[in-house]
Amino acid sequence: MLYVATAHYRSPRWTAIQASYLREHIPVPFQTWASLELIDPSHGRHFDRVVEQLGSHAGKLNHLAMEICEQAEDEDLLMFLDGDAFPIADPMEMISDGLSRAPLIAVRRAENVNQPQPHPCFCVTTVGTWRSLPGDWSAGPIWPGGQGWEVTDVGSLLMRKLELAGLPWVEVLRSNRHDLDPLYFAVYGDVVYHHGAGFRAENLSATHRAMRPGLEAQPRSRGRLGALLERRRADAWERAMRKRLVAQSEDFYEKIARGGGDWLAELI
Amino acid sequence: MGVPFETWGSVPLEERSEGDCFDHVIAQKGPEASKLNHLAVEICEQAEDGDQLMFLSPDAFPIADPMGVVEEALSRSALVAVRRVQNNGERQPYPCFCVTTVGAWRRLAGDWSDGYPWSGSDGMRVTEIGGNLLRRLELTDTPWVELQRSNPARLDPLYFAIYGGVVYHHGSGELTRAHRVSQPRQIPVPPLPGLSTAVERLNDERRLMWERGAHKRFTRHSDALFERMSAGGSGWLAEVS
Repeated sequence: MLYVATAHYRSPRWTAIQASYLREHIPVPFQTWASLELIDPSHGRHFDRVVEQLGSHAGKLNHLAMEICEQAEDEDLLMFLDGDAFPIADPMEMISDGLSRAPLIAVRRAENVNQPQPHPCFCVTTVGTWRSLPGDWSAGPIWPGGQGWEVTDVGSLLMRKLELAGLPWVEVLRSNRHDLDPLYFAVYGDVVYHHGAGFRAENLSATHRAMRPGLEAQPRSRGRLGALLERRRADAWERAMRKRLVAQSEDFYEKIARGGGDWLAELI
Repeated sequence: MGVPFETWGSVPLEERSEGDCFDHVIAQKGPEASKLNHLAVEICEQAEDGDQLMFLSPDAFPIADPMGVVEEALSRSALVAVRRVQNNGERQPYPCFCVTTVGAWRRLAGDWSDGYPWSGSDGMRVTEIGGNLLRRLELTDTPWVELQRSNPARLDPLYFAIYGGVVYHHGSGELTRAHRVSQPRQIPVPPLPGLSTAVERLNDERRLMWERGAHKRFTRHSDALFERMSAGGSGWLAEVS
C-alpha cells in the first residue's frame, strides 16, 4: 500500500486537482491522508482520511506520518506531497528505482539558493525507514544561505538524521525545459508538479529576493538617508514582484484547473 | 543538580560568545520545537539509553535539587514534564522542564512539534509545542507525570511560575489565553451603520489599552525579579512564593 500524506491549508483550490491527478497517475493501491486546516470539511471527500490538525507545516507532516505509521506495515510506502503538488506522470518507476538505491527519495530544491535538504513537496520512503530513523520534518540544522547568512528550512533535521544514520537519499531535481519562474511552477524528475506559489505567493523566497537589480552593487554604507531610500526602493521592488507572482500564479492555476495538458506543455 | 550533567545549548547566532556557559553549543535556527528536536538528535547520537535527557527553557532553571522529583516520577512513568494547565487547560507536556531517559526518547520517537489538537478549556481547538509528543505518548500508552504550578499566580497567571517546587520558569511576557481571561469583554456591536464602526473602534482601543497595561505590568515585575536574581541569593523567591 502507498500512503500519501498531504497538508492543505486555508484554501481548498488544490484538493480536487490533486486528487484527480493522483487517481490518474498512481497505478498501485494507495490511500490519501490529508490535513485540511481552515478548509470546509466537505472537501474531505477528495481524500480517504482527514486528520484534524493545527499548527506548523513540519508539525502537521510529522503528525500525519505518526497516524499513518500507527496502521501501516513496515514495507508500505509513505509519500509526502505538498497540497499544491501532484504527479503528472506515473512516478512508480522512479520511486522503485530510487528506493532500490537509497531508503528515501525526495525533491531537492537546488534552484532555491542550492538548498541541500529533502523537501516535503515530494518525498517517498518506506514506513519502516520512517519509523527507524525516526523521520522528522523539523528545521533546526543550518547551512550557508545565498546571501551569506546561515539558514534552515523544513527538512533540515531529516537531512541531519540521514547523515547521522549514514543513509544516502536520492535527489529528485527540477526538470523544467521552460521556466516561467526560477522557483515556482516546477516539474521535478519529469513526474511531479509543484506550483510553489500556491499557498504563499505573498512571501518572497530567497531566490526571488536575489533577483533584485543592483543587489550586488549596493555600497555597504551610504548614510541614514541613503539607507532609508534604498530600503524604500527595495520594498517597492518586492511589492511589485509579489504582485507579479500572485498574478502569474492565479493565471497558471486557472490553466491547470481548466484541465487538459496545455499548461504542462508550457513547462516541459 | 546533585548528579553529573552536561549542558547542550542553542545560542542565537549573534550571541555565540554566550556559548561559553555550556558544555556543547549546537548551531541551529528555526522554531523552538525544531531546535529541541535537533538538540535531542545530537545528544542521542552520543548518549546511552540509560542516560537522562532534560529539556529546559532558556528562562527556566532548578531552584532546588530536582532529582528526587525526577527519580520518583521516572520510577512510575517514562517522562516527567511541566503541564501548564493554567493556560487554557493545556494538556501536553511543556518543554520548559521535561525529563525522560534517552532510551525512552528514542523509543517514543520524541517530537516537540505542534500539530495534534485538543479542546482548550474555552472549548476552542488548539495545538501547541509538545502536541505531537502528547500524541506519541497516547498512541504508545505511555504514562507521564505532570508537574503543575506550585506557587501562587499573584504576579501573573502564567509566568514567574514554580513547578513541582523545584523549577522556576520566568516566561516570555507574550500574552496567552491565560491572560486573555481578564481582557475586557467586547461591547456588542449594534447593527447600525456608523455606530457599529464607532463601537468596533472602541473595542479595539479598549483591547489595546488592556494589552499595553498587561505588558507594562509584566515588564515591571520581570525587570525587578531579573535584577534580584542576577544579584544572587534567593530573596527573589519570596516574591514569587
